[in-house]
Amino acid sequence: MTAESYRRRNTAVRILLYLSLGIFVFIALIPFYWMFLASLTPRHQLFSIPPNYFPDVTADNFAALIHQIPFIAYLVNSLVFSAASVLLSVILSFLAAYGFARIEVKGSSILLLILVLSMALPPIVTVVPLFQILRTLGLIDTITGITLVMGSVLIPFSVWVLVSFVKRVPVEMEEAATIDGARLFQVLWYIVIPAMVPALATIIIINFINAWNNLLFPLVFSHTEASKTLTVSITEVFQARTPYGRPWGVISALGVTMVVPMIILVLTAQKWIVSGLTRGSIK
Amino acid sequence: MIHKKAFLAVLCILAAAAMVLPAAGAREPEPEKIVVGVGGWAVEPTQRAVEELGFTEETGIEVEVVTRPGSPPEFLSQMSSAILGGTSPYDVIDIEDDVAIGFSRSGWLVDLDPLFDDEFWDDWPEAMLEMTETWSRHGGELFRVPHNYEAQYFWYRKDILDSYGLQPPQTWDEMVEVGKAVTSGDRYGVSDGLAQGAYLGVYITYLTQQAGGNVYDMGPEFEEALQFLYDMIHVHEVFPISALDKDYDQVNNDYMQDRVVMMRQWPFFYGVARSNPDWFAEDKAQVALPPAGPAEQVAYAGSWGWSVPTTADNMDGAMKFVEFMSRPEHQGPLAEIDTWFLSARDSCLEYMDGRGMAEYLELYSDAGVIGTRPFHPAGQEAHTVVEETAAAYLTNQMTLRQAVRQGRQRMADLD
Repeated sequence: MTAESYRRRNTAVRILLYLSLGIFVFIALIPFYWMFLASLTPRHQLFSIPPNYFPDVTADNFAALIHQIPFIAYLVNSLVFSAASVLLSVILSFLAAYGFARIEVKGSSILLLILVLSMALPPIVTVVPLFQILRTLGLIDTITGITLVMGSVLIPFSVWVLVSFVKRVPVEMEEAATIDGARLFQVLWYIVIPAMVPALATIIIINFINAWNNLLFPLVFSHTEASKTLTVSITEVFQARTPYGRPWGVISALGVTMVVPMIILVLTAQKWIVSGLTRGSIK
Repeated sequence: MIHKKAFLAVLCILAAAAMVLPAAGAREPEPEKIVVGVGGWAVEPTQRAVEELGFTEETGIEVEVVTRPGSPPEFLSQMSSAILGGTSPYDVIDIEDDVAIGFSRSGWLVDLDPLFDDEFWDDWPEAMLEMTETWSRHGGELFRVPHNYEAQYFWYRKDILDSYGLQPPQTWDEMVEVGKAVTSGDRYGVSDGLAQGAYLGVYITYLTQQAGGNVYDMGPEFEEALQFLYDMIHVHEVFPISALDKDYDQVNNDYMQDRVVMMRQWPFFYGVARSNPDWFAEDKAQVALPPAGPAEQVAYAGSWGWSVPTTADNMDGAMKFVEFMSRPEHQGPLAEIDTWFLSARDSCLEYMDGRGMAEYLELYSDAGVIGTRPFHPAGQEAHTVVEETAAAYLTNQMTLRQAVRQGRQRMADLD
């Protein structure tokens, strides 16, 4: 094969690759495009035939959203709930993962397996006992209550992921620090955590997205705007003074307000996520 | 290597912190009040009703009106865990037929009969009483008091029919004939939202009732209804096949974009049409009596009503609220506040005197065309069988005989 033919083939492969990627990205972005478009489309143009790709732009759907639900309260609740769930789950998972990776206890691998298997339990079957527990603790309709539940749900996956990352941190580094007089927290803070920043960042992002999008727990355990989150509002928005019909414009506006923070978060942390995911897959 | 004791000490500290954290979130018990859960669309009207009718002044009980999840599955998720946990987010709930059936059979709703004497029911027309008996009673107990009465109306474009010199159809045959006359280009004579997931089943139930049967029996009347709809779509071509993928919003928009001349729709279209001032004119959204089928001229009604969960925190207050909102003297003012509270009770229609949607409810009520919604104890499952049977035939996946035979078998399996 001559250099010229190799170059041509290489160019053709690249074109094909970019074309495929372009098609994939296009298909993946269509729902987002449609959601943004619907959120800005006047109600009576939403179902026009043929579809109107450049409708009159209106903020009515966002105004309806803010009018129909206590938007700011729900948004703040969502942020607090997601951030607190992440904090709780990541701190506990990190410590648990460290324990599983570093402390040799009989049956610890079985314990880890049980923890991982608990992820297979459908969340819906846990809501009744959880409700009774939260009620006993006086935590129904509180951010604290849903945070404890969400945090505990996020822990098994986080532990499972983090254990392998902890094991990859050379134990000799910790031993050296201990010999130099470092205490447990110092070892964790100065040795282990810096070595695991990409992994922790990845878990933080994944857990944040999971908590942010969670509907079940806020739906079941939150009854007032004191603890309801934005996801619950999707069950509350309406089109008119009627139970019939879906307010697609308002739902799209809600979708936009929920997706935009996630897009910003993921784009900001993109480098860490990719780094964390790829590190976890390499031995 | 880290010492085990040190690690365990850290865990103990965190566990202690977790025990202290809940105390910060605990809330003080509320004073005397009730929480009323209604759909988002009904929050404002209910708040107004409570204020204008003076419930708090009369009873001293404060009312917090909150939004309950709008769709039954989400509402069920929320309520089931609460009720099984021995409590309820709401003292009073506003519930629809489907939810009422499920909740009452689960024993989650209080018997409301003790609130009312025999005289109370004198205000109720026969059709509403029959509907209440079917959809709001179980085991002899009244578990819901309907506060509205939502019939299905036959909406038509008077302006278009007038331009053809036509009158609204009185029978199925006339509907086809009028449909043929006005169908042209991308405009169809008749349409409806027929997407699976509630919509299709509603229309098939409506047609089967007009053919003289109960949709859940899947008898000859059901077959006749399916055949009629199939012919309108595939033979006469006066009903768009695309309707099989449409919900109410879409068919409403077709109607308001002049692509549909006649449609069956719930009363909410009254407000939808008027909320589109660029399009609306009185003669574009008129209501006629439903075209009669082979057996009768009928359109069934659904309802929403007040119920009290057995685990309500303030049971006494909840019962007072239901009694207060159901009084005959309050029905008219309630309907005036919002059509969400419009019913066919004598006190309500007398007070409304033909204003707004009451004009059409009175028309249907006086003509005696409002029937009771067919009931099946399996509820949603039976409805799904109806829809899947109908869809299999209407989309040419099966012959009518095959589809109905399969449907009957599935329906029998539910019993």
